[in-house]
Amino acid sequence: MPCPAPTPDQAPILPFRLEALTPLNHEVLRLELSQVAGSPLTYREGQFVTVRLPDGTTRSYSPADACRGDRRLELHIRTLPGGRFSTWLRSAADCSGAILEIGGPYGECVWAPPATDGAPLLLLATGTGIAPIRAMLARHLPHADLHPVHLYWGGLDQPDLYLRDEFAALALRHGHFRFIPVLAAPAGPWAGRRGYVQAAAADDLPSLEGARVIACGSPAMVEAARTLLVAACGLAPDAFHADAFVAQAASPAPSGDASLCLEVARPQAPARRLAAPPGSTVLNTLTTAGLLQGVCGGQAACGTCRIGIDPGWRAALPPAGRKEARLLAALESGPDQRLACQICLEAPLDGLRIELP
Amino acid sequence: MTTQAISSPDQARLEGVGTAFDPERLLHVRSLTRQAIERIAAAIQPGMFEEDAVEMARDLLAEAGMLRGWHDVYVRFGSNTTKTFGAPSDPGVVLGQDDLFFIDIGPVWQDWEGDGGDSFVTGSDPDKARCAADARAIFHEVRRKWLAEGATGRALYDYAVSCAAARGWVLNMDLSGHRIADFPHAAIHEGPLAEADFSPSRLLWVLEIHIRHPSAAYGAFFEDLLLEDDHF
Ligand code: FES
Repeated sequence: MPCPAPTPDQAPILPFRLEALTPLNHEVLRLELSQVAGSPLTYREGQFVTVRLPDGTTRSYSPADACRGDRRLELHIRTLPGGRFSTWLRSAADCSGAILEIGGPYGECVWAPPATDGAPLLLLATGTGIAPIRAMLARHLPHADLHPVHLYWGGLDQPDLYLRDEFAALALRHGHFRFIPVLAAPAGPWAGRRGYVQAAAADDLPSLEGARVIACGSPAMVEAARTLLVAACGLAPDAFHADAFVAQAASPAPSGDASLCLEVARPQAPARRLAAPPGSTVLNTLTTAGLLQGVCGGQAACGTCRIGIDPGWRAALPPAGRKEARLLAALESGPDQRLACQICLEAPLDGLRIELP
Repeated sequence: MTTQAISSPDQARLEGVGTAFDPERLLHVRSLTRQAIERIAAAIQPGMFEEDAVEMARDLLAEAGMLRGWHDVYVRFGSNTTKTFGAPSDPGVVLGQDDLFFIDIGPVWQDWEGDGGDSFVTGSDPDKARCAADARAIFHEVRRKWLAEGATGRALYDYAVSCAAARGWVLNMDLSGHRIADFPHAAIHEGPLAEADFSPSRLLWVLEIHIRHPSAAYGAFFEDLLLEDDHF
């Protein structure tokens, strides 16, 4: 690598203010940070930084956008049930404006064109492993038209591919770029590829001689991809790049089965506190308790399950999908109203406070 | 209408209506529903993805002021026409040149519910055309039995099974009629018409006929209110 990464004790620690926190799907948050002192942080796309919370918790993430030297930093954070960072972020009202210490950059998994002219550059990602890939594409794609670039992004179901539209649009703009979303377990209609990214890529690109591969995501994917692409597609072992840390950051959350708590305020009736198994919807929980019944069977069609969300919890909820947003708009809903049938209770929503109509 | 209704202590309870109940309004929302089905069908072309047709149907309903539905919007193409109510469609089905599709909508207009369905063909496959026409024909055969005999909901669906079999189709009993009224009717009654041991009253129940080919992967659907001949 032309520019060796700093070791942790060489790297500067810089103060950044948390400017905005936006849910990208049911578990991924976008953090927008701005540097408040020191000379501007610079990194090469694909590298990662460390983030130290006010309570001392430190985690590592890869910036999700190109480095522009403008003191801004975008991170995608997969919230983990019970995780300290997740718990801290969940109280968004308290943490916006907070100062975080950013260290780095670290790592050497950065954009590198294939050794052979015209050979493909294959990018593989699962989950938030897409963040460093997005940063690399933002920097290099417009100038990298000597090689076809193929991006395979995998998840379990459609909400996991939270930037799908963005990459589809990028593929329309750049003729040398292909984007192939791959789902392992789609629950609803899905006309795209199914299975795992490495298998889909090996099917499409049976010969990877002279090619280069960059893989970011779950350790299982990274290891399976390395083995498969070297053995089946003739990829040179040293042409496979992955960053150990990014794999760790994007690894799947442990699934807890402890019950969660839902706080229910009711007009002219005492508040209730309901226990809910993770994975159940708010509507299921309310129906089980005899408090609310939906008419359309949870299809975001009838609006009878519309509830109020405590404003302090609004940011913790994934944004409404197209169907829910359309119905909420039709019902002239306020910003704190949502459909109970569309909210899935997971650990980050433990303690969610809602209000019945 | 001659009536030999089997009296049931449940009938009054199962046929209750809400405070907004108004027969004229229900007939109005019925005609809006039928018009919407025709408009959706007219906009569907071979080569379309089913998912796109569903989105288009939602847009057309919203334009017509029917922003809510007491059930989801279903447009089923090709092999998905054999799927029962609520079952997810197989993704990525494209409507063929010689194909069959059906529409099933349950829109809410102001405080009144509509519910209707119909089947359509592209091209000239005679078996598929007969399937779509038979769903409609069986609906009317069963409706006339209700008119003529005041048969119970259960007897009507027994008859529907035999009508379907006589024409070489299998009737899906998961889709076997239900209440309709002022929204939300689910607060009033959720049971199927096929389990009602009394003769259903006019304007309160929809009759659903979903048939499928005994072995091939297609079917057809027709659904409307139980009403007298001059409403059709
Ligand atoms: S239950 Fe119908 S919109 Fe939620």
